[in-house]
Amino acid sequence: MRTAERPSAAHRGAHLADRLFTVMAWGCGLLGILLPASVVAFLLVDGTRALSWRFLTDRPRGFPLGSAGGIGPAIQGSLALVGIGLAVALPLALGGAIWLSELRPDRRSSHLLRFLVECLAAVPSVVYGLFGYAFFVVFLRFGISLLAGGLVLAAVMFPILLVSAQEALAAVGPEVREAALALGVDHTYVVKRVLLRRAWAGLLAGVVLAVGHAVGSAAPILFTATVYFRDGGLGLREPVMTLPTHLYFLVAEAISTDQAFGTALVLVLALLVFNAAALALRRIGAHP
Amino acid sequence: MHGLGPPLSSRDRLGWGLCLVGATAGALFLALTAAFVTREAAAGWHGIDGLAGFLWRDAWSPLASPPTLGVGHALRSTAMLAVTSLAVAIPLGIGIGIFASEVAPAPVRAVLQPSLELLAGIPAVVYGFFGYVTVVRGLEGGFGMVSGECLLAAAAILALMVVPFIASTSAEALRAVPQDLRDAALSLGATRSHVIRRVVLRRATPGLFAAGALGLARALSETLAVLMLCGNAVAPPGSLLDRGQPITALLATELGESAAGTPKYAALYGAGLLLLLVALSINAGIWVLRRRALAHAHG
Amino acid sequence: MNGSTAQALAPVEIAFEVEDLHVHYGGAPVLRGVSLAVEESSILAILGPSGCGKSTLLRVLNRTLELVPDARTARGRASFRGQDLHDRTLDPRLLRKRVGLIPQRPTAFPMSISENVLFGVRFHGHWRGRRPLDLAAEVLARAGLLEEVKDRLREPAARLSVGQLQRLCIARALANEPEALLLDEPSSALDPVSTLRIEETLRQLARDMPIVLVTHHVAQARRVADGVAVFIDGRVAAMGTPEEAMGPGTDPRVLDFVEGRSA
Ligand SMILES: Nc1ncnc2c1ncn2[C@@H]1O[C@H](COP(=O)(O)OP(=O)(O)OP(=O)(O)O)[C@@H](O)[C@H]1O
Ligand SMILES: [Mg+2]
Repeated sequence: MRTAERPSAAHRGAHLADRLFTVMAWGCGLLGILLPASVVAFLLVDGTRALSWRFLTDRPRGFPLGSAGGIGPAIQGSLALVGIGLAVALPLALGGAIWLSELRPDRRSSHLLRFLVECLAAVPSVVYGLFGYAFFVVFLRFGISLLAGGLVLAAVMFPILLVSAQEALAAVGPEVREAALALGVDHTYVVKRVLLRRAWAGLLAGVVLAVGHAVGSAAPILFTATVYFRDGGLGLREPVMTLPTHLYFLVAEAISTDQAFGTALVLVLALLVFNAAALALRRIGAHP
Repeated sequence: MHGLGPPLSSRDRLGWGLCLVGATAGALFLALTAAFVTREAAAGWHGIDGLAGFLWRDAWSPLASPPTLGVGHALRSTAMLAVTSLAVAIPLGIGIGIFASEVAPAPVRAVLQPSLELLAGIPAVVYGFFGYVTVVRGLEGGFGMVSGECLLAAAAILALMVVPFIASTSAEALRAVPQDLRDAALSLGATRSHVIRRVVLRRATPGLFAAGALGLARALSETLAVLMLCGNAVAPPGSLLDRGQPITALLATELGESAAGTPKYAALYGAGLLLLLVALSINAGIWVLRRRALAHAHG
Repeated sequence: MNGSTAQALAPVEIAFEVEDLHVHYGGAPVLRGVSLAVEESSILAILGPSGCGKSTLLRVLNRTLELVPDARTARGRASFRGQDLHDRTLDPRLLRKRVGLIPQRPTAFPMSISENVLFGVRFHGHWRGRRPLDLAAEVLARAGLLEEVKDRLREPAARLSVGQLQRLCIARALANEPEALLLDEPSSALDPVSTLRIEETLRQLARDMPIVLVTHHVAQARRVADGVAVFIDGRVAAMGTPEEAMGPGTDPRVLDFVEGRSA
């Protein structure tokens, strides 16, 4: 085929198709890079104006409330919510991942449980909101509160944490387990001293991803934890302000585009930091 | 797979007990979610005019007397949104998947991967806001619409949001196709695009369906972004330029204003249950398709 | 029950005894009727083509076979000093401490060099008044690694070379104070000098414990072993002193293997 002096028509057609295909693939790929870059750039350009130390720490002010001032309480509230969610979800997810990857790898029961975990990840976030409202807020009488929202966020984070922890543990080669157990030690010792240490980077990457996701998610906490405005301290049984819901209210009530830009930028910058951290951790995890 | 074998000490047995709690916590939470959403839907269901009325016959007018509680308008909005956004997102997402797994040189892939993760990670509210200041304002300014909030605006942003999920799942499916299959076809003198279209894509079909299904699931369950862009009108939308109110937006708008136990509350939980069931069935389908994709790849 | 009671004058005592052992992975038979005995205070070398089941036999002897999910002992017996190794009431932890195994793939645990050595001691607690670093140094010296690492005992073990890692694994097993030792190609990544040093250590250890040494080197078997068993296809094709097992009169398949002809 390389020696043919004159490519046949069919051949030229194939060549053209090849070209077209390559061009289209590159087009899609470049879009995949340019789209996120332009969303972030867009927010950067207009958001940096609003960003200042005061914006990050002050409470919302002005009339209508939120048109001036800052987002301090929202940052606080978001951190508290995610902290509670993580405190509940992480031990459970870690235990579950250890069970699935160490005690029952490749058994029916672990496939089923893993399937259910993925189902949990597939529950639409607004349904978590409905559930959290009916169960935690109304049924358990927690009220719209930090506690109720934190527990809902625990459910949101749980599957992400479990799946990533399971992957991190699976990345530790079987010879490590064998070498450790061959010395006559028990599982608890191997898990604590070898497996968790070997997998720490991957585990932490999962935590970072889960936190990054939870910080930005508004639907599960909209009716379970948040109010439009609140200042002065956190209480488990008190509602909170959060970053994503604050942004939502600013836009939905047409309060202030500038403040909204600032809030959106804070969310995106946080995400960038989280993603970069997860990327670095996964690199470390791949070459310990 | 290699595990640790049977427990070796009493503290091992205790530890495994604790771990089992974690392994079953997901199942428990899922069951609790399904149970409570169903319970709340059932409690006030008597005030709703049957399943037919709920799903398509009745309008959503909880304040009329007598109130009617139908979610037909929302189902219609959801369907229009999903179809429109996926019409863009599936070809683009699979295109990116092909690029990532078959075409991209390693350095480009090293940029593409985190870019897609970023795109997937940007919070929905931020997308909603972004769509508001770009698409909605653009429609108002450039096309002179009185209000730029419409299904089209929501669909545009929704497409952007689901693309990374479709892209990464399809790239995964394509990468699972064995290399020798490609090499064999290439050695027969076929061009690369021919091999990809005729051999690789065909082999990866179940995985590509899984990618599309994942996109569908995300599109159906996306809440905040569509809520901020769709216009939130309870009239059934006629075209994409009309305002609409998909299921998720209906839930987010109305839940805060309905008392527990009322028919309206039940209608909202009924809609939530429907959404949950659809999402879980799609997930089950994805699970089956993915396993088939991997089995194909290895077998 | 202590194997170190010298028995130079006593009649030959058997440490490990394996009788008609059949082991399957999934459905595939790997060991197909292995019978052999390892005498006290001696080194048995096991040779054989790759994949013939040598590592599998070692796994049986220190009960790590049960870590392989689909491995199954279909038939046969294996015992250590009269103790049935398949006995369900036998605590695998104790057996694994008594019968040390140095696995084929050398592995560093994610901790310092000294902590790697002390891994088992910290669990079993047999300090007997010795300070951790002293104990680690002493054992490392016996494995022939101390000179190279004595200034960096607290550095991560992951930085060691493969040959150093092999000696670290030997030290890790020795620190456990085993009563018997199973080594799976312990010198596959070592230079001749280190190999000889390891062999010297093994000869010393063999004064009071039975040792099973899986090796791919016929010459090594001739140098250190008291007995040799050659595995072919999951069976013992020849057994005896090195001369008997690998000498001219043996099974023709064994001769092919020893002399490097393909079967
Ligand atoms: N976990 C396992 N599952 C299934 N088969 C296995 C497993 N481990 C080993 N085998 C198979 O059992 C056979 C014997 O394995 P074993 O590791 O005992 O061989 P070996 O004699 O030590 O070989 P080598 O000299 O290469 O180390 C091989 O064919 C191997 O493929
Ligand atoms: Mg081996």
